[in-house]
Amino acid sequence: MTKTINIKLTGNSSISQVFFFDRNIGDILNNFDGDSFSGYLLKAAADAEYFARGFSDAGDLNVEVSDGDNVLYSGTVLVDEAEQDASPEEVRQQFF
Amino acid sequence: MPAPKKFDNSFFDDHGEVYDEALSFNDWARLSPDHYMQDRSKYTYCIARNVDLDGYGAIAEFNLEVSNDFKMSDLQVLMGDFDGGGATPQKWAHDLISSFYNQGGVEAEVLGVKYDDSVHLITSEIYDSDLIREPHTFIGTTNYTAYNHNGEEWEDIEEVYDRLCELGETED
Repeated sequence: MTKTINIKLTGNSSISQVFFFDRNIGDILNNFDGDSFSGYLLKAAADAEYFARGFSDAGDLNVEVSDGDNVLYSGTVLVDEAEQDASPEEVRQQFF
Repeated sequence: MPAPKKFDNSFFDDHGEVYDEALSFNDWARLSPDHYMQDRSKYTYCIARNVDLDGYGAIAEFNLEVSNDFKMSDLQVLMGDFDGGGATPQKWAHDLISSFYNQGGVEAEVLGVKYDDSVHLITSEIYDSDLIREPHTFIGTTNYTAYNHNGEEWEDIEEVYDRLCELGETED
């Protein structure tokens, strides 16, 4: 049997977004004629990628996990220092 | 199977939370920030927009099917990190990430979660931020940098810096 959980992250750390182009940068900048440079870049780019979205644990990161009406967890992400690449099951087993 | 007592005590001593009831990531399993990205080395130019949010907000939300006896510790948080023991970035991304890191724009950050060997990433479809909704709010806190890929690495294009500053002041 399964159930659906909802995961909601909020954060306020830095954001880095990169717009990729396969044409000359001078043309891209000279062709801008509008009110929003960021909006223009998004439309003009051949591709775009976020390198950071604001969810660093160095900022005010909060993750809420809920199951229907019940909040199962609300807080930041904690670090465990078990052995390298251990799965949750391996983490449990290595301490027996 | 619940977490063994010894580990649970250690985790509780560190965080004041029970391991099986908390959301955590393995300190040794940090990933490079570009771990799940496609190779973009085919592109000749890019423009990076780096913003220090500082008081503004980002939000992401998604649903997941889990078993009824699921424990919070079954969710493994995928943490991207360039300078805290993360894996080495792919060759195409290394210079960009290094540059952003030096500007303070890339820190250890949640990329998604893994559950039962399935990876669930934070993507644009389920992501929103003040930067998307109100880009004009960030005039003065946003910096733009242009790069040229010379076939081997990304190099700053310094001669367009002033033009980027000027255009960056333009928002609705």
